[in-house]
Amino acid sequence: MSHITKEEYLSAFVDGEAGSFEQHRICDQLLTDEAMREKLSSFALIGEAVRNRSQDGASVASASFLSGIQDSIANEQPLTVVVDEPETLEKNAILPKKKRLLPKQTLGYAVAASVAAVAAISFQNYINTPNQGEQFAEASAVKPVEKVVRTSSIIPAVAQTTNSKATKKPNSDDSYFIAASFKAPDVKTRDMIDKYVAHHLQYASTSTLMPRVRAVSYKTDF
Amino acid sequence: MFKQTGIILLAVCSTQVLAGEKGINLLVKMNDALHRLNYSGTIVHIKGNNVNTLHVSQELQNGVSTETVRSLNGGDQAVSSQTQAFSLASVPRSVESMKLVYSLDVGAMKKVAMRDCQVLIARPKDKMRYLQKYCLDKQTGLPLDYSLIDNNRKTIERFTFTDVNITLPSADSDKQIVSAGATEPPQTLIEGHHYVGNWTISQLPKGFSFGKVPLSQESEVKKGTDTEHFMLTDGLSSVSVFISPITTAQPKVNSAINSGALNVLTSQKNNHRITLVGEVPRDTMQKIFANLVYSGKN
Repeated sequence: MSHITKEEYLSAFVDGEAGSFEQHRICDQLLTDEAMREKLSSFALIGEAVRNRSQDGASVASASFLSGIQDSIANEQPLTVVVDEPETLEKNAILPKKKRLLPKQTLGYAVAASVAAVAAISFQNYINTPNQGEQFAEASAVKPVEKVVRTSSIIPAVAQTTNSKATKKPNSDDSYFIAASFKAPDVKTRDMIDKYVAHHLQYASTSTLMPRVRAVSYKTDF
Repeated sequence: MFKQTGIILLAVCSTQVLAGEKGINLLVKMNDALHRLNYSGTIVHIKGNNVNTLHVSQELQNGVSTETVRSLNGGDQAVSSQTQAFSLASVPRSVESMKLVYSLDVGAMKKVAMRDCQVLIARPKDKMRYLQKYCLDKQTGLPLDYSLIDNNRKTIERFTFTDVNITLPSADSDKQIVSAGATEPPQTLIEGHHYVGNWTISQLPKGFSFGKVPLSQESEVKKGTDTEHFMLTDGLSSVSVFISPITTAQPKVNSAINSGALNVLTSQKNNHRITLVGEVPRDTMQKIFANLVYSGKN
């Protein structure tokens, strides 16, 4: 094997193009051949230089990225862990205090406020929640009614009835009411309704302005 | 830690109580403004897809309030009424019962019709009534914007001023109102009672109580027909119940109509026609109807 041949093999070895047999053989030769080792060093250096140059174009972004990182590092607060000198120790001891935006006591109040808020909401929910017994009564009152008519659109309303008598079988009028669907009123009923609406809006409302406006709007509706 | 929690819990509760009291005060101020102020302006009334524009005005003269509402959408729809103006003496006295079923929240400041107004929300604690949202004129307390929102958080009705002119009544008118309010109620009222003729309600919906009905109105309702009338109110919403005997054989028909927040329901029970009218969900009306008990003979 001539040196030129050796160089070619070596080049293939450096480029990772040599077969496994050749790799082993070159490795054995490198152990004993000083000139070959020098050549390998040269090839490695050339390869490294070539790779660096080929990456120059792509490194524009990398450079800014790197400079960004460097800037970030420069802006980063020094670590407080490394403590060698008493002076540094003193500085580092001050730094965490500078970073704390609120005093420790305020943080304590914040935690307490969270706990209090949760407690207040829970308390309010507890107060506003209907009596368990009442809820149970409602639930028990619902079932018999639901069995009467499932097609009625007004079941939910009757189902909410809190009257304990509702647990009994509804009388014929009630069941009719539950079962029947609503219809638009006929002319005669309509006249009567209009009169009642006028009475209601005039006398039964708790304020003045809105009922009057409703009264006029109601006339434009129908 | 526990001490801090206690302090803050107390502060939160106190704030809520104060907000509630402030809300009540605002409601009282609103009622007073509605009865004691002169105002005129344009109001937009939105109900679902319907929009009505109306001109409203109220003028106080010699202790008498003249209120006129006229539709600007064409037609000749108008309501004009004269009532004896009255002061805080007439403010609903059911504030305590109202607090049981509504929580009053005072919201942010807004601008309606170029005037600063304070948001006030009467939030119902159950599904028996609508949420009511007001924006009350900061200076006078007059409601400049008012919405009713149902249980599905849908605005079913809204009144809002697009322009308004508010003036304080003359000192003489004001004196007359105060003296009228202090000496006698504006109208002769019949005390609310549980029995109306042969009818009673076995159980009232939570927060509702029997309201007072003016004597003049009762006689007017009964005119020509043997109709009983009573009114239920929770302080902010009301339901009128009209009961009349069915004298001729007729098919049982349940009818219902709706106009914004106003629901009307008609049905029969024990050979009587029962009509409920009110600004409450239909479910609430059905509950009232279901609890109507007849104690007479058919």
